[in-house]
Amino acid sequence: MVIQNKDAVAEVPLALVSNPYLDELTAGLRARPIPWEGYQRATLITQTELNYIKAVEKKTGEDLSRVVDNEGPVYADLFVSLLQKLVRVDTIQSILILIDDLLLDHEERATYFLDLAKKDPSLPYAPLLKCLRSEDDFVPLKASKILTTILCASPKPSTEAAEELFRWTTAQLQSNNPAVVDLAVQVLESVLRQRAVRPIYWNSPHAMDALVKILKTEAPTPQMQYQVIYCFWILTFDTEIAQELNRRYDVIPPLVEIAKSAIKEKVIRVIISTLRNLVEKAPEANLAAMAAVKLLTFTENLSTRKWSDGEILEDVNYLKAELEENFQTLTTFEVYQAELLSGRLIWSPPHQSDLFWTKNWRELKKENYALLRILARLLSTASDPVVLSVAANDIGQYVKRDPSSKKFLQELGVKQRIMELMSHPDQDVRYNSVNASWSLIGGSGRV
Amino acid sequence: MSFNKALNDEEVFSEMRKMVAFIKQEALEKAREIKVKADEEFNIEKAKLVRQEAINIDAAFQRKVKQADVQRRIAQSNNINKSRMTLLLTRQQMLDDLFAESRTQLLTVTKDPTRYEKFLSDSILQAFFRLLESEVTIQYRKADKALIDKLLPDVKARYLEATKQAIDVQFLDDHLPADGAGGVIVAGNGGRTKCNNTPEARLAILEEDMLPLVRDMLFGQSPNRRFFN
Repeated sequence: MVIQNKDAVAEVPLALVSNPYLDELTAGLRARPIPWEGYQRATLITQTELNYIKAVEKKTGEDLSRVVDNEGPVYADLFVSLLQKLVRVDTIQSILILIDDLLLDHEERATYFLDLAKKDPSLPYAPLLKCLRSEDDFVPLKASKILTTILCASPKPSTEAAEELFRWTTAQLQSNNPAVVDLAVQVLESVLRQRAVRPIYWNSPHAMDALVKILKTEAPTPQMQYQVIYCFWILTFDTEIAQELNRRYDVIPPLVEIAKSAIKEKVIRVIISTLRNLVEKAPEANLAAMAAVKLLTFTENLSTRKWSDGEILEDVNYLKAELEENFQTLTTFEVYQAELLSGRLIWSPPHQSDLFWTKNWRELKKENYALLRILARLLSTASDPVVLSVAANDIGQYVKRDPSSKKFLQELGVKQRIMELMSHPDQDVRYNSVNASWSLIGGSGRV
Repeated sequence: MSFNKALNDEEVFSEMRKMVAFIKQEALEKAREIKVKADEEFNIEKAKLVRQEAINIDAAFQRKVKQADVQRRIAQSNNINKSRMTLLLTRQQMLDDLFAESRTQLLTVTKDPTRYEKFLSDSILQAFFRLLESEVTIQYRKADKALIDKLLPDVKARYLEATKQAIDVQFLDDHLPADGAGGVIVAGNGGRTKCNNTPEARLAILEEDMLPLVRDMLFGQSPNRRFFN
């Protein structure tokens, strides 16, 4: 029984995909006539099917509702079976348009499609997934939009359909056409609302990479930033994802960077919400990394600004409180380790503090020199002079406390590298590598 | 949109539509964020409630199981007690029947003259030995008077031989009931010490002392018994 409340605000639609490019294509195709009668004569479709099509063709809104509301299931069955049996691209396009019109503003009609599973478990997804693989420009895009609505409306969305849809979106995210990328991200925004598909997306090969790449390398528009980060936000509601997200994809630093320079409030809003989720669901994994990028200072800054949205302040204050509380307990070493693991070495206090090194040098030795190796790798692979300088400095500091490791470092090729760096164009790099090599050779004190 | 020329209606409407669409989009995005957050919080809360209730149900169930167990044990204990009681009552009944039967048998035994004569003389002597008094009184069945008169001299002689002491016997007028099994009650020390040597009294002693043997003959040993010495 549905309780009607006439004063209630309209419900937020499950699937929110509004893409002008797609709309343009749709409009163009809508205008084109399809010879349904011809198909009927060629017995590709039956007379009954023809009548039904004629009844809904070109109708939208109220007109469409009048025709469809009594026979929703029939239309769902009709469209899906037509998709299955017809092959001509133009007919497929038209049927997709008809389905989309059916679902527009009436997402509840998606249940008619979901009910088809009772007669055939592969429906309604199979023919739509087939459309995703089509070579045509329009068909996969339109099919993805319909799939989104259906997946969002399903109480138990099909995992195979979701997997295939994500494979498709991952490919689209790398398209050259920004409108296509935009559509793909919007599809994700809607589908990821289904809790069950989040781990599927997380485990889908290259799916996360594709999203992260947009943020890091492609200089996206604020709207695109918002959309991508929104996807991250939804994903972080899943605890496992919250634990692994930063570890695997190192998203905290770029998120904070974007937040610092963002103009649109909603971008900051969604970034802060994501950071909040990371802290709430997986503090041990994320607090150290946040401390490393000086998030606490930034939140203090944010809390003084004037926001039109009250909830941003709530989230900012939460972050601030958590960071402050843990600031004391976060040993400097954890911050150092987070910095090291992220590869973003900067001149933070630990690097040059004698006290720090005396206290903590053993940590780099742990687990078969795990951290020392990372340091060595950064030394070899980094191109940023700051990182090189800091890495060189750290090697020097370490080896001063642990002279027995010199042989090991030589085997790693660190000594060689430091020598090479002594002729690096950057002055700081040269200075620090000279000092480090001095320690490596066995001299005492700094030059 | 240039500010130099006035906008015509169409352009105004077009701009307005764009603005409306933009505002709507922004609003929908925010509304969606709120909805998503609410859904997640609902789920967390629901999971918490479900978990709590599951724990409660488990606890209530454990309590019920324990209760049922306790009641089962009480019932079991009651049943064991009841059956023990029945067993004891039945055995007691059997013993009572046995002793009642024995008492009736007593009367027939004492009808045999030769045996009764021997018994009477031995029982009088036994009573004398028990009391070890010099002066005693004797109670008897009226019908036994003649018999006792006949036997008494011999008894006294045997007593004298055994104890080197004479004994004086007074006959009491208070006779034993005629329907009894006979025997004598000998009293000494001014009537204060009595030795009741009637078959009834002897049977009564036997009923007590022979219980272990009787038990064994009737019911066998207790299955849990470990010591037999």
